[in-house]
Amino acid sequence: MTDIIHAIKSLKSDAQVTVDNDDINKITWHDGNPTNITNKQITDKQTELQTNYNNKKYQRDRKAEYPSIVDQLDDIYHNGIDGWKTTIKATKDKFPK
Amino acid sequence: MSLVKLNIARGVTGTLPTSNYVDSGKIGQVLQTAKTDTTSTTSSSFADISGMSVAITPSATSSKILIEVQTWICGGSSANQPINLLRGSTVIGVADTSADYTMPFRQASDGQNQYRMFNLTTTFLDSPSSSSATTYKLQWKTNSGTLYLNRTVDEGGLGSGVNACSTITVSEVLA
Repeated sequence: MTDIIHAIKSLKSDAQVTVDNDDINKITWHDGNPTNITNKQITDKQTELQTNYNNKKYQRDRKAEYPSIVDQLDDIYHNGIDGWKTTIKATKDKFPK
Repeated sequence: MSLVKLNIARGVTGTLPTSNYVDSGKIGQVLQTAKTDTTSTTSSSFADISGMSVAITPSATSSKILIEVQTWICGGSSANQPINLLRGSTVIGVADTSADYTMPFRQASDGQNQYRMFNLTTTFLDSPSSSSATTYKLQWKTNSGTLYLNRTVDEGGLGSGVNACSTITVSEVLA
């Protein structure tokens, strides 16, 4: 699950806060929580961020699978753009959206 | 002061005289706090690190206190993210400069910051000149980004749940 402190920063980027053990009940607001962020807002944001993260799994998988830029340039040199597209498509097909 | 001549060849028995300096340099007591869970902060001013404090009551005002700190931290940015060691409210173990941080820290900008924990340690021999309960603790701050203790920012590197244990140990060194 997305960190509580990450969710808080998404709600208020300049929040001054400490969170112990990623526990919703162990939040210390060094700035007094001026916008009165509630625990529910935090947990809702956590869920939203986690959903976004999960939905982009294919991006992370593709990134790890793509050949390096050097290898891709070499692929273009030897096999042309169409050959390179074939290489890239194999990864895209392996990890669909 | 009396002088006693000993005949080593015939063996030696008896009791050595006691004096005030016999225990000098010995360790009187050792106390440790170990923080086994995690914490994180975005505070840009120094704030206590929860669970990273230890109180010791020296047996004499002449005692010194040896403080050994081991922390595992990770910051997601390349900002200044220092940790201070305090006796009560006094920062100790600092350089003779205006930026008086016990453990200055700044990560490299290589895109891998979120996956690494750094082991920041310090050892300091303090002279509290007190026989009252004395608390040593750690504070931290981050000039940018979030700072984590005992875990990485992104647990995708080491793996989820791969955390560390930070400690603060104090030993009374008898005068």
